[in-house]
Amino acid sequence: MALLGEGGRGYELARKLDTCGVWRTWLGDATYANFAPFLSSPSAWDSFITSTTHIPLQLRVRALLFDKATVSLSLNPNPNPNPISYLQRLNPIYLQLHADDVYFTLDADSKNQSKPSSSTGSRYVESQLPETWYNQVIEKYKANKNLVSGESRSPADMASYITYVTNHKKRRVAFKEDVTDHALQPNGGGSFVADDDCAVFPEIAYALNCVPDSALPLSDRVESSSNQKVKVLSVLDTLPPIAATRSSVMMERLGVRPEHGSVEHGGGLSRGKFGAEGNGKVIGPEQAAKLSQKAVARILLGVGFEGAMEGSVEDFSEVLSGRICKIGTNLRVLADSYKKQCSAIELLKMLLKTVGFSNFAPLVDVVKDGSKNNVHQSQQQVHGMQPQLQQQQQSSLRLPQQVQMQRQMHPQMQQMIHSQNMAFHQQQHQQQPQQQQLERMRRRAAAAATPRPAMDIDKERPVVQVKIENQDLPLDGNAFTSRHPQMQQFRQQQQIAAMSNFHPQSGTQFRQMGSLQIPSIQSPNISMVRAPPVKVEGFSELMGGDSTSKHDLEENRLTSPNGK
Amino acid sequence: MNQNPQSSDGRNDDDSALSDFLASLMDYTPTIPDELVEHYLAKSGFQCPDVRLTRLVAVATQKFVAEVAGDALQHCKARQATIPKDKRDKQQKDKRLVLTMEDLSKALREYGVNLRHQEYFADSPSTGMDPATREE
Repeated sequence: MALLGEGGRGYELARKLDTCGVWRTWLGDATYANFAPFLSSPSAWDSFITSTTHIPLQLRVRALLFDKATVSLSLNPNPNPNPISYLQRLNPIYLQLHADDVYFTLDADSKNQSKPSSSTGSRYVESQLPETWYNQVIEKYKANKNLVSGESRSPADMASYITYVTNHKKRRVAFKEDVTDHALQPNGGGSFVADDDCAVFPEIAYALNCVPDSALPLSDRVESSSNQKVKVLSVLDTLPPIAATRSSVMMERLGVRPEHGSVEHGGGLSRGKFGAEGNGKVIGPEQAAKLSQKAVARILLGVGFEGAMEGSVEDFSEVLSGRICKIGTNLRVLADSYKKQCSAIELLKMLLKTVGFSNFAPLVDVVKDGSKNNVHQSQQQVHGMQPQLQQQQQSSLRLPQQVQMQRQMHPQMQQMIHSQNMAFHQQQHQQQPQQQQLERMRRRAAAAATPRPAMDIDKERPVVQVKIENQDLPLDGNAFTSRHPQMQQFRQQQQIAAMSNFHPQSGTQFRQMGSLQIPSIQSPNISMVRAPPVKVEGFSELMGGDSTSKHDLEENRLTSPNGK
Repeated sequence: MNQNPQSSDGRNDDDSALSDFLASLMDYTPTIPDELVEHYLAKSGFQCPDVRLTRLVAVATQKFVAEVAGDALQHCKARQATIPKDKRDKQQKDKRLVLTMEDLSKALREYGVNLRHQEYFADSPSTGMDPATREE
């Protein structure tokens, strides 16, 4: 420092302070008596400053000396660095002691250091100086109506003092002017102004050499500010996603359909909340697994499968759920990474690329196929109805079967009628007309047989065979005699049937004829009932050589009743 | 100078087409229910109130599953084609297209998913018994 001289000892400044009487006030009368000899010569001063025997006194002296010398640090650089000029320019009022000087804190430190020593001098010094300065501080605070916080200053006082210092810093120019005025007017004319400006020196020095009593208040303030910053960050972290989401959603809505978008936006938000609750309450892991299996089953049916094994469906459903989770994870990463840089549409494009689709055309095809599948499902429903229709058709087909049954019954009745007619005609007409009628009957029977189903035709054949066999048996004498009772029973049955079907009058005539000529009528009846044409055919087929003789026998039998 | 407007027009067209596609999703009900998709999306850490995005994910998943199922169907048909024709009964039974683990495994392998069933498959109480006892 310039004021401390070349060697930095500050002898000249010390002597100037002595001339102003500052050392006596600062050190006390007793201590000053011990200190005064060191100011007699520069050599004595140097030995005092560099000695190690008077450390407490030396520290106290250095505190005041250096505090006053620091004013040179705030001065503008001067082309004339001569310290003597600086000393001459110093205001004597500045060199005086002030209650609000910063070296008050250093006094406490010196006390702490001097306590371990056992010298009575140091105790004496401590006992005097604190009392003096304490009294002065108390008086100053009372005069200024400032808060008194004991020996040390409170954070509030420090804050107010900093404000005070800041205000006084603005008076630096006045300080220079005042110095000029003081030089021009060395008399006490400017004492009032000088007194006001004297307070500036310690404030300036204090601002440069301020050391707080405790670091906690400032650190607390720093911590509080850091806490506020953290809070601000947390708030910022929460706001951007909401704002970004809303802005993106609004852009998406407005871009697509403004009205529907606005409605959807509101609905979407509420549904999202409801959906979240729904997910928590309604759909659980088990239900999700079941739904996924159902979805897989539907997709398999759509593709063309008719069935699936249980294990394959379960694994396929796991693949489906894994796929959705993967897409969700990709969405989350993209949204968190690019929510501020990209729009919603761009995010969706990026999602489609990550999923594996270069564009959304395949998805459009899926939607179209889905609509077609819906139509196909409706067709399937129609197809499901077809079996019922088929069943109805089957039920309708049953009706024709009933009709067929009726038809089957009708031919049997016709047969009975035909047989009755044959008997009746045989009785009334001669041989030739009988033969002609028989041929006609055959034709009718053949015509009736053609429209009948095959089953009916098959049923008639056994009857014909039975007739043939029955007719062949009488030709053999032994067979005829042995089966005669059976034949009689058969004839009686035929007669009963004929009587029941004929008209009562014709029935009575038939009975009268029977009663009159029983033996003769019975024999021709037997021959007539045997159906000679069929017999002839059978006979000719079986025995071609004897056909003529048998035919003659039959003629004789037929002609005999006519002759009688 | 001429290319820039064309590229911007193309992008706008793509954006509008994608927007139209998203709008069409409102009228389309995917095979996969919305609740199911929302459940799994929430499980993966993503929740979106927009139904269209949910259905977009559903359609994408449906596309993937349908492709896998289609490949499995091809494998199933190929497997049935190798059955000898002498066995009539089996032919009648095997005419139905049934998805098996073998078909699914082959189909998923093409998509990078290795799916194997355990070597010892206990699907009935008789598993592990003597063949004669099984026949009885």
